[in-house]
Amino acid sequence: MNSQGNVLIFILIAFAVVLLIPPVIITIFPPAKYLFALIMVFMVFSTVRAYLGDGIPTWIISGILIYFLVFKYLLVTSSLWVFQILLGVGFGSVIMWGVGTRFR
Amino acid sequence: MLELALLGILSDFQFVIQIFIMVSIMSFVLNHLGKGLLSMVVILVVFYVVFFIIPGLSEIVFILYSLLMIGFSTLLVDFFFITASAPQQQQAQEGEKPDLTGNELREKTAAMEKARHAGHQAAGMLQNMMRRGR
Repeated sequence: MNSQGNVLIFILIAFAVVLLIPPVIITIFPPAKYLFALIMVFMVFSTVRAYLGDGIPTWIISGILIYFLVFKYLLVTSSLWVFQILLGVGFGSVIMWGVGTRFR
Repeated sequence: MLELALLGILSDFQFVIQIFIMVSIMSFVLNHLGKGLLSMVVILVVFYVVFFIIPGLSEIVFILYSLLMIGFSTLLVDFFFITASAPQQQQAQEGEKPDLTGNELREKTAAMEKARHAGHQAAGMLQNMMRRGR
């Protein structure tokens, strides 16, 4: 495999490690689950309210989304949330830079 | 069992994405037209197009839009910078040769030894000739 393939594999591994942060935290410290759930509920509700404003549809759609994203798939959602936060603050570039230095 | 679980997750997340698309459309139309009969009609028409005519395409486009909005393009730029510089660095490392390789050093030492030996022989012959000349 050439160096581009190696870089891609290492980048995918790095991002998989980032995605595994919330499940590992929840496994090591189980009460963190409630903290993640609370943050997810606030995030979903504020997102829907920003789109639709205050009203009955906001509560209905927030309830549906909270059921799926918080109660059913908390680990997946919290992983994606952490990934989004890290991307938002530019941590993805740091990972890329760190992986790139391995191939110099 | 795993396939069923995976399909369940996929269908659930497809449903979640459809809800997000629905909310985005409602927000877009209500922001532009305000609350009224016209906005309800436009929302229903867009729902019909998005969810019944091009359901798969709209989901893919929404996922791409979301990824680009959270800054996925910067990751792509970084990735292509890294992978573009990797072969150049490899070529540069291959192109950099040392000033003297081991074989060249060995050949040069042997040639100098030979020249020194030839010099000694010439000097000896010259001394012999000078002695005979006396």
